[in-house]
Amino acid sequence: MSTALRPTPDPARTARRRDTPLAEVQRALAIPRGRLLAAVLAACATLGAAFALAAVSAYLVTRAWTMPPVLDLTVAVVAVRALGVSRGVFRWLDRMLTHDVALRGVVSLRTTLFTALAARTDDALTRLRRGDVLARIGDDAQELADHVILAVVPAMVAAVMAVVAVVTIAPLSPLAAGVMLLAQAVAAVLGPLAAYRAARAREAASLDTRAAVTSSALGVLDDATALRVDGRLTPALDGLREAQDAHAAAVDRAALPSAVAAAVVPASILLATLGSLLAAGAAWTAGGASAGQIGILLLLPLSSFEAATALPAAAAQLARSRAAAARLREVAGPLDPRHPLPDPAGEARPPVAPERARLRAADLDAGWTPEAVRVRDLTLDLPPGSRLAVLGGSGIGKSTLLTTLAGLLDPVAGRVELDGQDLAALPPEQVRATVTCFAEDAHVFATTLRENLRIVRGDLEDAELVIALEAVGLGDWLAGLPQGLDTLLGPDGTDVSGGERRRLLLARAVLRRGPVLLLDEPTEHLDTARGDALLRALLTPGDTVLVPAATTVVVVTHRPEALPSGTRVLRIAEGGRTVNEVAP
Amino acid sequence: MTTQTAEPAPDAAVPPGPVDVTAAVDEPARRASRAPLDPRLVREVRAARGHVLRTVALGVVQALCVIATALAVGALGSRLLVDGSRPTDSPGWLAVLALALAVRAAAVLLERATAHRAATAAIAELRVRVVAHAARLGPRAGAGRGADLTSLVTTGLEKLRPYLVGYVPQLMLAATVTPACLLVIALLDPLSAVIAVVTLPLIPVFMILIGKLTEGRSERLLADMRSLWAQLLDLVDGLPTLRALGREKGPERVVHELGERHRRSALGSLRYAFLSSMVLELLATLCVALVAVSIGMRLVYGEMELAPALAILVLAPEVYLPLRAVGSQYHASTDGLAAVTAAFEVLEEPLPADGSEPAPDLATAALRLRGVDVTSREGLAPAGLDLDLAPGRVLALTGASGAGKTTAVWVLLGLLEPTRGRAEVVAADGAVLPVTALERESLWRQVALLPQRPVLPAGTLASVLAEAAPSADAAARREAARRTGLDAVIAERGPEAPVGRGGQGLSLGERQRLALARALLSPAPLVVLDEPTAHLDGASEQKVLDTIAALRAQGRTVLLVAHRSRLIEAADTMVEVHTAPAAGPARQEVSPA
Repeated sequence: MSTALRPTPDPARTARRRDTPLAEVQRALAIPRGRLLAAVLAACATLGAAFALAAVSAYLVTRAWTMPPVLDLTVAVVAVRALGVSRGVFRWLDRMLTHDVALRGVVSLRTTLFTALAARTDDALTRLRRGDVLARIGDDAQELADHVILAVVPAMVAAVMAVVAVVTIAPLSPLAAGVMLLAQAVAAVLGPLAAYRAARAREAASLDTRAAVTSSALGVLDDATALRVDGRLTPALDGLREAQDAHAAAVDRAALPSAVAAAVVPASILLATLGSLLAAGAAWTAGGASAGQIGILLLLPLSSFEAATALPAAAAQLARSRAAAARLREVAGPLDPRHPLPDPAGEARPPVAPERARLRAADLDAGWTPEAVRVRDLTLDLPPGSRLAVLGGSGIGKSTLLTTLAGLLDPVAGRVELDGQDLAALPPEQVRATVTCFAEDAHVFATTLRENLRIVRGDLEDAELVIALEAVGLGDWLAGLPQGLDTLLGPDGTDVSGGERRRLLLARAVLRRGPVLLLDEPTEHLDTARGDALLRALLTPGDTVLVPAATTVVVVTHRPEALPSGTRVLRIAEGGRTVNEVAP
Repeated sequence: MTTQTAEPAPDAAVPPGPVDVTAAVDEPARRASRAPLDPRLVREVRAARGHVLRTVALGVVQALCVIATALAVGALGSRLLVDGSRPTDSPGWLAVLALALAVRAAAVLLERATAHRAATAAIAELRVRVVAHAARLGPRAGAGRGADLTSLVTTGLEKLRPYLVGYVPQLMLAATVTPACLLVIALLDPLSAVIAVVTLPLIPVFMILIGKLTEGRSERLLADMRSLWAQLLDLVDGLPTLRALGREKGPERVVHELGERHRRSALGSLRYAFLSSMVLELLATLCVALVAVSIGMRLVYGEMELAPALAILVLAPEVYLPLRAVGSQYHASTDGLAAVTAAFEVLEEPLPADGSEPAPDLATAALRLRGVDVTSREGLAPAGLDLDLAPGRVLALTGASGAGKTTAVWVLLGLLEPTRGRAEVVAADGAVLPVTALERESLWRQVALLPQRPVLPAGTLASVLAEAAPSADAAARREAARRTGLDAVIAERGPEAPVGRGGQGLSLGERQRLALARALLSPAPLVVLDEPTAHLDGASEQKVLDTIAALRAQGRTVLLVAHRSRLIEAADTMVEVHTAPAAGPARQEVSPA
């Protein structure tokens, strides 16, 4: 116990602090070393087969020219034929093993990313735009699969093959081996460097200008109708063209280094071939080499750079991987690959007993940042079963208050208490099980209506769902759905109208039956009569059509005239001051 | 020289096989075109055309370099071994060899430098055309392919880069280097040419066999990838909701399962897909091996000279190299072609015809709907709608949620063709014109439309407001701001507060006020307000009612889509929109045109 008290630095933490984002993301790929080694070996065997075929066939032809007894050639002939067949087999093995490793890595990475995103307690998730999420979990995670396939494995293979080429030529002619070493070094350094520069230039371009192109293009598509009627489609398209021109100019900076990278290997071949040729001339006239050896010296340099050709692509991939890793790290926060898969049985846990859920706010300042406090100095006491309407002008901070009361946003000052305990100190699971905030922009999942409702509680029966839908006035809608509760709803509720969507979200709140429900404009987008009726049902104490009597309900609304007489009202005024009122 | 034409594009994103979950490839799109070069791309996209011509020319140069290299190595080798004369004693051949290798490096340099520029230009050209065309297809045109269209203009078209930079040049090399090398081999030693020519046709034969084997698998894989992607995105989109419900832990198990399922199915397909690269490699190396053994056996018996033997040994792998490279770029080609096909699928969808008649002045002309039905998912919304919008009147369109109020507005403005019924303009002289006969621009010039989510240009509060009516003076702008409550926003944030594209930087209510002020300021005789008070409190709602009163006082026509009774009370007339079950058993999606 005493060692635990000593302030020793956590070794895992200090190690992590030194890590580059790429190293951290690579760890999140959780690639088993054995599988990676197998993939590299198979790739080396593939390239080695081709290299050996070139060497042995060069030896075979020049040795044959000396007209030895045919038996002397048997080994070479058999070797040539065997190598001719083996390369294809190795290639298949190498592709399979490499892709398996990469795909496993991506599965692990995406899971880790999702866990990390879910665990973020700041407002990163709220600020994250849909397009960004698409890019991070899609393209950037994919980039890391490419990292394994295009960078990690090829780099290891190229190192092995360069050594093999030099070692093969060294016994024949030290001079040729020296030139080969030089040429391999040029190919291994210059090409990747140029490619890395090109990729960085392209990466920079895609950071600034490509994002502008994408958002400009999506902007036009999203708002096409309004833009056309407004006569602003042509200027909007001109804006897209400008964004693309800027992008093209930025991308163009990569063209030259990229071309240099591609030309480095042909240039290295030139160097190695001429060097080897001159060395062969010297070796043959000096009489120190056999015809077969001369054949190898003449022809092998042309076949010695296959592995090196993959290096520029590997370097470019490294640049992209680094950038992708940095972006992933920024969005997702710390990545811990040891994500424990939670116990599914825990999902349907019963909420805390309503009679104990007393929500209090003491001297509370709420806001997304300390500079932008929207609600000041609020003291609020909500005993179990209370009903409260929150009123205030548009954008004044009603939603911010709700988010803070729900414990989804830390207070700027003061505290929120649940049953006498500070919300911030309670385990999040217990807070969520007790206090639930239903945001106006809550997500309608692209799944069945049933699953969309059961999201609030895993143990709900169909009958309960139908009752809840009828209670919020969606009975007719449900009856008209082709597959009833099994009907698939579109992403983000696009196939559900604004009013239906609101009532669907309200049905979720109804089904939650939690001790404290915080509802953000639940009756917006509904026709007046229907909206007001629902509002009354929510706010009249003892009305159990929508919520149990013991449940505390806080509703943000724009309809003071629809409040039942005697309802407690919290009005947020300019400057964040709050006024307690009672509805007339 | 044996391997060097097979360089994969060093920095083009070479897709590592069908791991790419973002690929949005339609099945029909995949079947539509199997030619390696879509003729529409060459015909209609200028940058692509220039690129193809240039790669053909550079392909010829590279073929000549390969042949010169082979002949020089053969000559220098044979002079050395046969005559014992050093390479330095034949400066001519040595120069040819050095020059051939150098020119080849230069050709690669030039081709790569220009390829990237061509790809950038071609992608830009197609993107603008697709976006412009899709925008003009109408409000429901995206419904069937919303996400597909999004992924096409963002990531989809970018797949043309590996296609144009990586695949097309290799294709052109296959069309130049392969036949040129075969021809030279035939001239040097017909028997070797026969071996090569016999093994070559095996490639398409095996490819077809493997194609049969993998048929259906890649479609399944693509469907799997799409569903994985959609579900994943859906979960991430819903994360704030899941977090609010305390359910954020658990879905990652789904993410993991989705990923694992995808990996297994991907590897299942790849097992067969990689057979094709195996066959290519196998045939290429086997041919080189057979040629080497055949030449060797004839050299042993003195039936052949050394120089051509060495030249053929250099040339034999070059015959297959471009083919192997084309094979290894297979995914760049399918992805690129799919992007081209998807792009032209959008471009070839005919635009709804624009009319030719100039719209009558809406200050005096009336708009009307007669018996308008629009088919929607759950039937007709609206169904049998009649509506008369007289000039200078305020008309409220009401009805239950999902009744088709916004759709009715689209029909009235000629944005959407109704399934049945018609939208018409009645000019002051009584002449009746169908809206479809009108030149839409001339109609829309007279309309200020406020959608539910206001669409604002980027700029500052002041500039965005002023832009609505360049001719209006400062007093008019102040008045419009006062009426709509925008003055409070300007006072709080300052007139130079930036407004992002789509109103970023402003709250929804503030955006709404700015949009209202713009509508009030604009000279358009018809103002359409789609649920203008949806996100507003009582005080702001009053500002909207004031705005409507001001519009009425100016003698302008107002069409309201309204839920709230206060809004409905502000109208002169009210029309209720109804739905009806679809006629007949077939539930059809609305067609855009």
